[in-house]
Parts: sequence; C-alpha cells; structure tokens
Amino acid sequence: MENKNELSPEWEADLPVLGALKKAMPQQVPAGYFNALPTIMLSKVRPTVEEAKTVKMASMRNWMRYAAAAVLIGVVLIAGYFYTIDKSPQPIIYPKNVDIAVMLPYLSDNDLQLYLNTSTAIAGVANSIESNEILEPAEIDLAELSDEDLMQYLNEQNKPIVKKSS
Amino acid sequence: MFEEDTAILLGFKVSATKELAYTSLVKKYQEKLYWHIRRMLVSHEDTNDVLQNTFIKVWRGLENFREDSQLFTWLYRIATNECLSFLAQQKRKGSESFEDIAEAYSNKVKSDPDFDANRLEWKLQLAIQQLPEKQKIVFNLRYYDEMSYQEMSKVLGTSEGALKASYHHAAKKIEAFIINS
Repeated sequence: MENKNELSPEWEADLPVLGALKKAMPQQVPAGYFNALPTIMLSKVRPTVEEAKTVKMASMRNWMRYAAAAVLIGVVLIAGYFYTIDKSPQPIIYPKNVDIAVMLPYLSDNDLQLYLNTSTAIAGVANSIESNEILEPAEIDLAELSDEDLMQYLNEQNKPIVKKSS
Repeated sequence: MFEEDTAILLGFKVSATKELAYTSLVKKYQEKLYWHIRRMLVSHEDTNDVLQNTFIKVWRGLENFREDSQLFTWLYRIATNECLSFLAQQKRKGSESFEDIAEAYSNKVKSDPDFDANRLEWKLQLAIQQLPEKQKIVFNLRYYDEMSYQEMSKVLGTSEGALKASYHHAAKKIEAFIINS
C-alpha cells in the first residue's frame, strides 16, 4: 500500500486533529488470538474438504430413504389389517334340523367328549352326563320296571327294539 | 512457510502444500483484516465471526482467484462484503434508524473496559461511528490502512473521484465532531 503522506491531497492539511492523532487502535485483542486463529481456521476449512466425498453419501441417503419409506408403509398396512379385523369371539352356530342319530356314527370320541363338556357348561352340572348316576345292572330290579320304562330306556340308548313274537 | 503472495497462490494449487499455503495467508493478513472489520463492527466477538467467515470464503474461492488483481485487494473486498452483509443482517433484525444504529455503535465503543472519553483516540472512535456505512469504510481504508484511491476503487467498485469526495466529507465530519466534543 502507498504511503498516506505521498497521497494526501492539499485539503488534508485542513485536518489538524486527524493529522496529530496516532493511528493505533485503542481497543485490545484477547491475548493469543492471532496465534490461535490460523489453527482454528485450518480446522474449520478441513471439513469442507470432506464435504466433497459426501456426494456418494447423498445417494446412499436416498436409498435409505426409500427403504425407510417401504418399512413405514409395511408397518402401516400390517397395523391397519390388525386394526380392522373383528377380534370379538365368533358365536357358535349350531345346525338346525339335524338328526343326531344319523350323525352319531360319524362323530369321533373326541368330538363327543368335546360336545359333552360343552353341554355341561351350557346346560349346567345337574343336566350333564357327569351327574348321571349309572346303575349297575345287578342293582336294577327289572321286575319293578314297566314295559314303557324299558322301551323309553332303550329309545334313549338309541338301540333298535326288536319285539319277539310270543 | 510462504512469504510472498505469488508463492502462497502457487502453494495453494498443489494439494500437498495447500494447507501450508492457506495458513501462511491467514498469518500474513489476519491482523490487517481483523482491524478492518473491527473498525466497522467494534465488538471483538462480531469481528471474530466475520473474520472467520471471510477466511472460509477465501479457502473456497482462492483456487479461482484471478491473478490479474492483487491478493490483498481481493481479501479486503471479501472482508468488506462480509461486514456489509453482517450489518445488513443486524439492521433486518432490529429495523432501527441510522441514528439508532450510530447510537448503538457509540455505546459499544463506550462499553470497552479501556474506554477513556478524554483521550483523542477514543473520541475518534466515537466520531467514526457517526458516519454512514460507506463513508466509514472509505475513511478507515484511507486513514488507517493508508490504501490508495486506486486500490480502494478495486475493493469497493467505486470511482476514485467518488471515493475522494466521500473521504473528504467523512474527514470533515470527524474533525468537527472531535473539536465540538
């Protein structure tokens, strides 16, 4: 830069105060500031060099964005499915006008046991098969039973009745 | 360590010496740019922010620097533009009038722990704060940095005649302020 005195136009001679002043700034700078600044600046600009490599990271970020979107859509769909399905217990629909006697041979023991257990729950203990007393044949005095009682019993047991002709 | 501007510019173009050249540049110009900015912004903290931004822009732009202009002129131009951007930002935040801004900067000068109202150097600092921004820059570059009008013209993009007139008005105002205070 050029020397101010060499450049000063004539009118600067009319500025006695400015001419008499020292040009030093009266403010202070924190101690060690100028020693530290070059290192600080270098540390600040170095990441800028790394930024050039982040171009690849940007495309990777795009890929991750799509993956995240796909996961989000999946979660929403699954959540929607579980939210919309009816979680209340379905009522048991018993078939009407079904002849039990016809169906009975086709049912397994397990089915029957399940039916009896369910019937116990619905009909109550008093009406369940478990509460029925089964009498030993020796305890039954057949002489006291009428023909009608015997017929009813046999019907209940679902056994065909064959009357012998006398 | 690179001493000459041409050595710094050459060193910056080679990746192995780029950081060394940059450090040399910062060491060589940091004080001049610091005071150029601080005369405008007064506070050390603001000056530090703007100076760091200036050097970051220098790092980014130095590769494209055209050597048909002087390096120090280019650095001053970046620093001056950073200062003006900072001041414009401050104005937008506060939306204050010129008088309010001048008052605020005078108060910043007075808040310095070393401030002495009887010393001429401090009176000069207060007087500079009364100037409009452009006159302030012109006065500082001419009075403190002793920059020629030709160089100032390159820094500020203003004609030499306009700069001379601007400095003349600024110097007269400052003389009057100091004499009357």
